[in-house]
Amino acid sequence: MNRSDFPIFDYQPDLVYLDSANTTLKPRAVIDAVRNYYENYSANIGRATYDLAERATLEFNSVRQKVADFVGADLREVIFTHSATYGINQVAFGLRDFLRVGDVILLTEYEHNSNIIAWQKVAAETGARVVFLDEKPDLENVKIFAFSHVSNITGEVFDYDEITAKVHENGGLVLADITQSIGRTKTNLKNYDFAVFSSHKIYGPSGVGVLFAHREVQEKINPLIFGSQTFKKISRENVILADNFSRFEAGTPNIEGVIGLGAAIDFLNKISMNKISEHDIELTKYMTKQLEKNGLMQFLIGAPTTGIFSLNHPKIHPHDFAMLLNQQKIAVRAGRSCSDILMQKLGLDRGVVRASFGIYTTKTDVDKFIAGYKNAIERLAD
Amino acid sequence: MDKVFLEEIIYRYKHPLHRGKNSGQKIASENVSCGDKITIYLEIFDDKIVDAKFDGSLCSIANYGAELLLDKIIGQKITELSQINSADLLGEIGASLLQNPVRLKCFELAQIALNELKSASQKRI
Repeated sequence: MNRSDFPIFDYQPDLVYLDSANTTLKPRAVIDAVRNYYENYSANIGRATYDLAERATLEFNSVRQKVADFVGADLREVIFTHSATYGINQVAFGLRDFLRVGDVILLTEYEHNSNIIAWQKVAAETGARVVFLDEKPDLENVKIFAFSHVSNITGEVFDYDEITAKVHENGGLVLADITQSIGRTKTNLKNYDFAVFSSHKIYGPSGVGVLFAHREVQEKINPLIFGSQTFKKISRENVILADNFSRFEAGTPNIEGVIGLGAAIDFLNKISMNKISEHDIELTKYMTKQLEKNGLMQFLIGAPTTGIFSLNHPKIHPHDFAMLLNQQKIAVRAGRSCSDILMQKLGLDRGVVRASFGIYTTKTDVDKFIAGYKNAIERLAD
Repeated sequence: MDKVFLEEIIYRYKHPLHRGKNSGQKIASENVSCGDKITIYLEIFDDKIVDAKFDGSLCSIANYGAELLLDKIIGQKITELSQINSADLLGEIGASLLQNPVRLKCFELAQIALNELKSASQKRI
């Protein structure tokens, strides 16, 4: 599917890229959009009034609408950041005044480290407590519930509708990390207060993230940094910050990155998220079948319903699998994949081998991975 | 990675010369980023390493690094250990690993453990 849209395969036709949960490859449309900005209208945005600057501003602003439409949000709820991690930090530290001693910040054990550390640090500052879902806490005191919609390790989808409703009933706020789901399945922000994702995981440039902050709760978070373009009024004595997304976007943004993100969204829409999701599900089923057929299910962690598979062999180091697979031009992630808490829970200190799919992944790629994994076992096991 | 080098790594992984324990002094180190752990056992007599073994939870490159290090240090005076470096241990066959900082860290795990002994011995001097 769409392999020819990705120039990297022109240069490396044998590449089997199974690390899309880490970062996706970039389609020609995105590369062209970034280059076009640099070559044809590389002016700053929102400041100058000449033609080039106006074009840059228009292109940049149009992406905010594209992002909003992509997930059914309102334009005013889209805040551009540097990464999903920055978005989480913005919410966590922006809510310092909202948190009190004894409040519970509820996380799940499936979180990426980025969706844990920021909360631990804010808890330490405010006297709130971080509690994980497998500790089966009383939901009464939950002030924040932050979770990943799709696990970056097991490929499982988690909606947590009931917990979300309960937290809202008690006046709490909910943040969904949609980093792994947004490029795999049609994503709806439902009634989450906040959601974050990274551009580079949906075929866009790195260095750009998006934070959705629901209009009703946006005023609860304070900006982390301040600068030009963030205020309504300024005097020698005081400043009044803007009352919209602008107050969170201090400084010149990653203009080319945002424009590239817009091109990535156009690219995904052109294919259609329904088709992308069907392709992901089909490959997920195929991979599961091949693991079963080849006696490898015993090594699988969890029960993936999206294209992210993590395998653990009790005797062979994940890095050794990755090394041997790399010899066959098969790129996988090896190690704890930024999920240390889950790995601790599973007793997998050395982590896992993770194979994750993108829209360019084929059944032949899956076959090569299975053959390479089996070959590594034959070569390295006692 | 060069095929010959890879085969060498796998060969030493499957046929280690120095894996095991002895009753000597223990030194240890851990690679926190990947969870690998090593313990080196050193029998020292008259400031000379007369026997060395290692065990732990290691990938094949960390294993290779330990094997080559122990090849080198058995029979050496503790005072001579400071001259050891990865480029020398890897030689021409493994020089490509010097360009791979992530896996070089694996290779150097045993050397990091040994550094503890070096600094302890320097303090004594």
